[in-house]
Amino acid sequence: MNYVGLSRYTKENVEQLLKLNLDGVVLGDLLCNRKMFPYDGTELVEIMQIFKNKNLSIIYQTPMYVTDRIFSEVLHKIVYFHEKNLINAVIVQDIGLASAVAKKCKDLIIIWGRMGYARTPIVNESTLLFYMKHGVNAFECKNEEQAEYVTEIHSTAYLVYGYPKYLTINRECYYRLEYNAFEDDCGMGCLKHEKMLLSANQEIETSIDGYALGWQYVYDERIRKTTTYNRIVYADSYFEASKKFNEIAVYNK
Amino acid sequence: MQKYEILAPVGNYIEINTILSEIPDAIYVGMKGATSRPARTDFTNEEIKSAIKLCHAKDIGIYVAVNSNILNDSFNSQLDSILELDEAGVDAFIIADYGLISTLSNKLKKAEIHASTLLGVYNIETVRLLKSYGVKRIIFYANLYLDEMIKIISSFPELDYELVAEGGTCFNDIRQCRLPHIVSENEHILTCRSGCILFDDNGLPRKGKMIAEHPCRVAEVIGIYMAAGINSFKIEGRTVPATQRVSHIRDLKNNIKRFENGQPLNSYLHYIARLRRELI
Repeated sequence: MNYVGLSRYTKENVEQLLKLNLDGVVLGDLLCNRKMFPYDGTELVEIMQIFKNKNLSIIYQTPMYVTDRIFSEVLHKIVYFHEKNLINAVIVQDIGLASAVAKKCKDLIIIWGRMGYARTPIVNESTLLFYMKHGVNAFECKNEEQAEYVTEIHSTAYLVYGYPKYLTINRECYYRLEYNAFEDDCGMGCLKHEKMLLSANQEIETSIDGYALGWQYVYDERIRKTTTYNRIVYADSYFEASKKFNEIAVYNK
Repeated sequence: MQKYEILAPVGNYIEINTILSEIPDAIYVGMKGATSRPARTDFTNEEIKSAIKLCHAKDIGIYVAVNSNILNDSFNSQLDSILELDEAGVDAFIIADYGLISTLSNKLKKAEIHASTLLGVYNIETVRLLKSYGVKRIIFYANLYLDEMIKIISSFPELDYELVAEGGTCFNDIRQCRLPHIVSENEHILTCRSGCILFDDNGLPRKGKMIAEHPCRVAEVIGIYMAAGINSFKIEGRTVPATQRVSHIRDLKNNIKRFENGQPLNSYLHYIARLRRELI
């Protein structure tokens, strides 16, 4: 199955995505729903219903930092979406959340996400089995080797086409740090991809993408050819996503 | 009376006595080939066994960090090393791999399991999970806010909680940062702490804020964290010479004593004032 995860969902993007030959979409930003949705996520249920009405599967992506400030809110959202049949799966990056979701949503697919993977790298079977014991039943994978490994231990792989590359990530938005530490209106600086030069020891030129510096998607072309595993295509825009889907279609003809 | 722990780093067996002479409550060392620091700062098993004798002779604890990625191929050999050191008398292992924690939970005879900051423990539910595997201490993640720490501590007061009090400079998500780190004059120079130039909408440069502010020296405001329920204060820096950490051990001792006599409100006010100075 093929899914897409865009960086931003406007009304236009949603309508355009319905024209692609998709099986599902990934909704929910890792760091800031204001970046992903024009109304900060208030419109999320409506968007889910649009996709659901066209028989697309929905994967809800949970935030990267699920501290106790937001834990209940995130969990209740997932339970609500699940009860209303709005989601088929969640992507988690936190084992505490995975465990809590598994207890409340018995038949929900819980995918261990690529940022959870990056934070506590899964390089041994013992850790994979630990996650599975506590509710995880699928894994986002960077390449086919990881996907094979996951399948060998009887779990489900979701190959990521468009793996995130970045310099650094923080809980605080760098854009707001630079411009607007206290006011609510951040000006959506993350969408402008402003440049910042790090001087002195190293010459590094990077953009500020909200909570990350230099965020971009890197496409491993080997993943185009897979037909064995689920595939999630992450892209900054609908244009990029459709280009990648066309590449996949051409490659697999 | 609550006992507070000062936990000091030792990156080199030759320097162990420099640190032990300051009588910290415990030291931590890296297990060779199993840490996220350069291998030259790790101890062999034989060195650790020798260190155990030196430490315990002075009633000082010794913890061993096993906090790098544990590959499948080396999982069993690392496990054997840990069990060997457990038998030898290590007081705790600092672990950053969930699979290793679950494997060790019913195998260690004497040593405690401490959950490394690299696990990214953000919430009560994760602490609950770790506690079920016999973890006795949570090393708080650097990016947790004070109220978040307090919530966790209040939920599980029977566990120990540790915080980096000196030397920790990581402002960003610990395992997610790919900014270059270089060593100069025995200190890690972090790119995030050099100055930045920001280009505005017109392409004109202006001075930007440092990505990473100067680390707040927790020793100055340690009363807040003591009041919050944190009972272990770690000095980072296995990669720097031990002599540079001696003053930190002494500072921490003096400050803990000061706040033990009841000045948490002053430290809170000091902390707020410091925060305002740094932000404005």
